[in-house]
Amino acid sequence: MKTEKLENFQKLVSNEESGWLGKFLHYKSNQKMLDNSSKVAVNVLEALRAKKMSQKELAEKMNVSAQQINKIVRGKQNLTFGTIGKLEDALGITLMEIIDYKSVNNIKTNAIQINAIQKTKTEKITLNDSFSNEFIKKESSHMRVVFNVLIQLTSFQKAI
Amino acid sequence: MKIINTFVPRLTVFKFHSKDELERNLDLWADEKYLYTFFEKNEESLAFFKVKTIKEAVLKTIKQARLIQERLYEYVQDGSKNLDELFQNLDDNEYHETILSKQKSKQYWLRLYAIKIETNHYVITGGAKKLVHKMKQSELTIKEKQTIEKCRNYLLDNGVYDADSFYEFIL
Repeated sequence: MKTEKLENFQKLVSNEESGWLGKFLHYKSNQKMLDNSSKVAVNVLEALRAKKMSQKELAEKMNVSAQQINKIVRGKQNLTFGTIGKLEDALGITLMEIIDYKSVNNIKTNAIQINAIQKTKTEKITLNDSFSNEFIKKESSHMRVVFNVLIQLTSFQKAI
Repeated sequence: MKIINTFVPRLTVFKFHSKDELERNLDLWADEKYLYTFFEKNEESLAFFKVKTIKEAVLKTIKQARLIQERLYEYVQDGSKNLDELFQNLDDNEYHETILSKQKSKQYWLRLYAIKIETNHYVITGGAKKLVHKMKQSELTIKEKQTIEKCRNYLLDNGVYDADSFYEFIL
């Protein structure tokens, strides 16, 4: 049952609706682009601050309008490779790196190798104190590097 | 001054300008340029939160604002969820029910301020980035405190009370 208070309140509420949900749904459906755009905006602002450069100076250097820079630093711009390149040149920073393609099979093999090492490490540490010597003897010399990292990790966990 | 719907059942919001207070605050909390300038001016407050750089503060704010929206969206999708879980008394030392009590919803240093109409019914009055311990320590939160009071008076002036509870209130 509605109280007198609630009835009086509802008389004050108009039929209008907030704009937040539409914007949030727009973000959800363009999340990756907007998140990247946001990161670029913050990095550009950081670079401007570090170089004591104004947005106006950046616009002049890039030969674009001040309004375009304003859109970029507000993180709402769907940036092209061309604009990113211009920003990088004008600010002397790297905003984007393309990672070399690696086939899925290659990645899988690496993952299996890592798992195998991790398994060895866990089993040997819990079951056998002489793990270190056996491990180094069995593996080739470059495994010494892996072994040292494992030892560091184990010490770190013990320290915690 | 208007009160409008938020799509979240039983949650409404005040609108003073072209945008309502929920939309306006969420827009500000997603505006990199605005946030960067804000934290440049308030850099000394960040140490308390163990935030080391302005960049970190900006990215943290954006992330926390998204979490607020995700949470509100859950309420949009499931109308049976109780809004009382979203808000708490503005004054941490207030334990008794008061008429049209002042409320806050906390998400890290972000705050949404509201008035509780009754159980599970709220109206948002504003929001802020609260980087200080007490609201009276920052101009931004002082303004929000004044706004919530103004909104509460508006509701009282428009009869948003039960006769019995109002009688208790004025005694």
